[in-house]
Amino acid sequence: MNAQHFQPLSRRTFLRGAGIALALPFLDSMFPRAHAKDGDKATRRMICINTALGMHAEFFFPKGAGRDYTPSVYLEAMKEHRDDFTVFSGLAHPGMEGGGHAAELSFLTGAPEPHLPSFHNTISLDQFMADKIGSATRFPSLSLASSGNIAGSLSVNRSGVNLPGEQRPSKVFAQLFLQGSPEDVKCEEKRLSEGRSVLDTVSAQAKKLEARVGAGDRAKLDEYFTSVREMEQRLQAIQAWSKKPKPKVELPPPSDVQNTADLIGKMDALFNLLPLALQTDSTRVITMLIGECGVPPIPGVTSGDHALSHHGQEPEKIAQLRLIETAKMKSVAGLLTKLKAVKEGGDSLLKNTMVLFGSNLSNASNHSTQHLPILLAGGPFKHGQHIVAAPPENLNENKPLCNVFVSMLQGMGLETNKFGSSTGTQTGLELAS
Amino acid sequence: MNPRPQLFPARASACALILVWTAYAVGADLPQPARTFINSRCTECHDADTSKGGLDLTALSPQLDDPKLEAKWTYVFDRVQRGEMPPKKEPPPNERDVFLKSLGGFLSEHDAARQARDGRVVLRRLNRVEYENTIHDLLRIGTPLRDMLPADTAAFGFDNVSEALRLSSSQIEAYLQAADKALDAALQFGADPRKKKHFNLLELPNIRDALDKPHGSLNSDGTKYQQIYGALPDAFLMFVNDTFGGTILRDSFTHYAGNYKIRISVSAHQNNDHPVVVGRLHITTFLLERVAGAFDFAPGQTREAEVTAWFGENEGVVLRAAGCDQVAPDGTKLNDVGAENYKGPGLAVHWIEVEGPLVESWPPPSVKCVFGDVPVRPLDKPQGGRTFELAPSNPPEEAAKEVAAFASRAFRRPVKGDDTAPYILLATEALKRGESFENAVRGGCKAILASPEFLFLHEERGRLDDYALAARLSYFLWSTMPDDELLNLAAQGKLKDPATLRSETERMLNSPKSLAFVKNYCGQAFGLRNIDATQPERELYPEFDGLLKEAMVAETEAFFGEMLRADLGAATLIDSDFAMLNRRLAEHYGIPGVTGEHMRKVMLPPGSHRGGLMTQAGILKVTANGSLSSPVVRGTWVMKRLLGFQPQPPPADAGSIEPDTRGTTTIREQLEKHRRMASCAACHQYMDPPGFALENYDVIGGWREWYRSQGKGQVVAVTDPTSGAKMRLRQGPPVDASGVLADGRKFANIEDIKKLLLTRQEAVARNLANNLFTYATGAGITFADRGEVQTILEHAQPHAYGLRTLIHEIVQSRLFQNK
Repeated sequence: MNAQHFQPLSRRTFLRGAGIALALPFLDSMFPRAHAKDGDKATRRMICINTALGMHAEFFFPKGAGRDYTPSVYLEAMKEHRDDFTVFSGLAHPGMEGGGHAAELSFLTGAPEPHLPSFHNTISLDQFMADKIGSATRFPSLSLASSGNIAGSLSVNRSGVNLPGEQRPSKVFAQLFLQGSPEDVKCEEKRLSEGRSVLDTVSAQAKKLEARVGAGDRAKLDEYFTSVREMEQRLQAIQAWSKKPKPKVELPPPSDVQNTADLIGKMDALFNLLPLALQTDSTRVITMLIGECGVPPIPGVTSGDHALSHHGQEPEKIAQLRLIETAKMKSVAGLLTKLKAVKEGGDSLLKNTMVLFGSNLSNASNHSTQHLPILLAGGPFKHGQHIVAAPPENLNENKPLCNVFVSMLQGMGLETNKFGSSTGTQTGLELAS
Repeated sequence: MNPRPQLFPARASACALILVWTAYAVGADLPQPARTFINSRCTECHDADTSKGGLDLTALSPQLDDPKLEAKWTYVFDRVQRGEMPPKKEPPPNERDVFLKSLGGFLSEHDAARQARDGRVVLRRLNRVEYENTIHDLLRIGTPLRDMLPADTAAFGFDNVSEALRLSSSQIEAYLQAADKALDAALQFGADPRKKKHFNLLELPNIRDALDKPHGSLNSDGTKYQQIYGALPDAFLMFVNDTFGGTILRDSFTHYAGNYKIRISVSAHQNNDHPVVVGRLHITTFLLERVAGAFDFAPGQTREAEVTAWFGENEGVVLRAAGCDQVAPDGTKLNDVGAENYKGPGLAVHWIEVEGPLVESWPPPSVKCVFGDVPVRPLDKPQGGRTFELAPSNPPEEAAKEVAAFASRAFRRPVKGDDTAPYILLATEALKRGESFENAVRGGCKAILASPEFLFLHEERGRLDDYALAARLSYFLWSTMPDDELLNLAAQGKLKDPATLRSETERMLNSPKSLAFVKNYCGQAFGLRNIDATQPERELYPEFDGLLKEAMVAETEAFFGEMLRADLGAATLIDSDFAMLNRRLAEHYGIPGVTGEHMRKVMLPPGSHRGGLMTQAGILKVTANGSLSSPVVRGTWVMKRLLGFQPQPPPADAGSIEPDTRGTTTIREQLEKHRRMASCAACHQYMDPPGFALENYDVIGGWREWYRSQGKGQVVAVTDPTSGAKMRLRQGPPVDASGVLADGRKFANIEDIKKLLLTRQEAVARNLANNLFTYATGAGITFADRGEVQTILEHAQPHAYGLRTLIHEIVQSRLFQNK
């Protein structure tokens, strides 16, 4: 089937006919903006993936800079996408020294000193975007995780609170695509309006209490009040969306991976849903935290991923670590392949989706937070190169990773010049003409 | 060189802690005496030019409103007070005292002003454990709820510290969902589901089918059938330990979630040379399992064992023979010879009984928790799964009454009309809209469960009123809402009376509910919650299993429980002549004569290498990863968690050690190199040595004299004391547990270090008191609180800083009884 056979549908036409199950490729015609000719921009999306235990540097970073770099072991696993990604070296978040595993809290925020008691996190890249563009979609953002780590997900809200990450593909699928029976919908509608009146009541109570307490308590009540207000708005949006049918897809509902150690299985199962989530415009912003898993069922791997990341230079452990990390790279490569296979207008979905992949640690063996492994695929950029932001020898002269984030914000079509510790956009990362 | 010999950084004498309140305004410049001392004694190294350790005191701003600066200045105070700074020329004591008084006053003044403004403890939200416990008590249900809520963050080492308990809209959403789940579970109007099911295993059709097939008969695909089950005249025989070989009782699957009692009648089979067989009960959904209990079965006697556990809506029982390895002592394998001819140990199961849900009446008492005295009557004809209905005579009036009553219990204090009006309104409006009485009241209760009055502890500035005191005490010792007795005493205004408070504290400590305190405290103060953070490598530690892991956690909790019971103190944390053990753990430690799965007090034989906290397997596991232990991590654990030493994070340019375990350099050599760098030595000279003394313990807390190796090394066969199986291990280099303390004193092993630590009991007690205070009140101990901690320590000192004494002292203190 080819989407080009169909005239673009208006959203209203689509909604009128929504009783019919539409096969996936039809959905292409739902996005006239993606078809747009000159002057109109395509829908832009972003996926950020962080694998919390680092990537073995020797196998990750390529040799040579620019377009003629020689791929590393891990980049070999992505070679079919070579022209669609840029790999970086010499990037880090400043102020992360000594951060250790706590650095995962700051991966998308850049907030310094996550390991200190005085730490206050700041908004993450995805939530910053969701605040600006999230109302256009049923879900302002999706926060996913293969397993919880120190952080529940990569997402941090405006108040600096880490948001929980959904780990079950079945739940994600149900949220995105399962309509429920008319009875369910009615129940849900009732639950939503009950939820709203409950929130109305408790936010009024919080305001009343605020008048009676000191400054410290007031800040806490204010956080409660703000959270309730945000939830009210969220319920309001959900209520509005609940009147519109969810997109129907041909994919059967996935079952959850039962083996908690099956990291790759869990990654693949969640990744499978992402092209659909984006293509149906259910959300435009997605994060995925890849946490620790134990001993993954990968042939040749007999030790836990965390233990292996502390390899102590033992060749046997590095060999096993390589098996796990290669499998992770392949899973990410698989996601890129899936995004590429979806056509939107004249382009692939990958062209409209920035995919950031990296880690908050470089060498997990000594918990180094410098010289992070970072790769950016898709989106509106000119790719196919290795950008050396700072030479690897000078550990303390890294360039801020937030510069890449600013480039991504602009790539998303947002007029922003500053994010976290940025000093500008990422040099060498240019928009494709 | 340090002129005073010291073992660990010594706290200065108590008198230096008694701070003089000076008249400097908050935010003012550093007082002159402190400035003078800094200029004459510190700036040689800590000025803009030298700024040793990254510290330039001439540029360090005294704006204490910035918590980072406050922490820096506190650190400066502490290091001078401990006599670590200035390091070379010791200032005359009076000069030091003047400085400490001056800077201490400055810091204390600022902190006290903050406390006066906000109270020590800012509005504290229930964490998710407290939330779950509270809802369980409020509604008398057992439904798991904590995992529906986002994980809480911690500050000062505990996740009940108000500062760190944040809120987001996701959290609010989760509260709405959890309230629905709890109310669904509470409001049951169906038929009475209580049952007792008795299973004689040999009579079950699927078991008879399984037994009918002879070993070696042909399967439909041409392979040979392996008969792994057997039968005695009165018992079913099982030998297999893995997921495949368990007995799932299909008919035990419940359709009603609740607590159930499982009883089993089992004897050990053919275990003459293998003294104990373990039966492990699991609860399963068919796909996922969790352990409900594990029992030791000694030879020759039938034992009836029971456990009470939570079952979800569609879960059933599985029984497994744990610790049976399917190889008989004569070398024959179960799969080869079949169960009939197999001579290895197994479980002989006579019957299993499942009884529940365990509620004393029906409809369950949880209905009364919401609907109070509203009559419930049976329907003439059951409808849509309902057998009972509510029969209010005056719905609006009764709805208002029940919602108000629920609010009072949920808010842990009497309520006025004003406080409850909005919740009552929700219910009465719903009635007007035509909602059922049940749904209307339920809506009001749902709002109450998401309200700020329920989710936050209500504490007003200054001295706590009786109800706030009841709640603080209850969340301290029980992690849940106050019970009726506490609330009654609060209503009578008696709780503040010191003698009543004391007897209530005794009552609460003696209640099984105080286990919540033991678990939450040990899990966090000692790091036990990290027990699953890493998995021991199977190849290196084949003897590790779930039973051992559970015993590890249970040991430390039982040890702390024993300290609490017998008022044991700081010295016991360092060393003890007893340990809390069960059979599995005693075998792991090589201590004979302990039978059964329950934890009990065991006097340690000479040469056991155990006693105190540091040598407990759980502690040794959480300070190691799956294959290696690091003296730095273990040493830091001792210094930080036992002695309360707060190391500064490493300077930015330090990097951390790149471990190299290929055997060319040992971690000891690398650390020595590390310590030669002055900026590292400042902390590592204190942190590393106790870690070296713990090198004799492997990553699962077993005693070792040589390292197990994955690479080189001779293969040796070691008998696993538990299974009796031979473990093939590679022998690595021998362990050297000796070391040198910061002051130059040498030690050879853990016994030496324990003796040296016993001279530092006050530091251990101070750390214990600081942590208990933090946990008890939900706020960290800051500078202005130090005097009060000191007072408590002086009171507890004659009782050898006993844990129970410390708790009483804390409860009676000004800090505990004020916001």
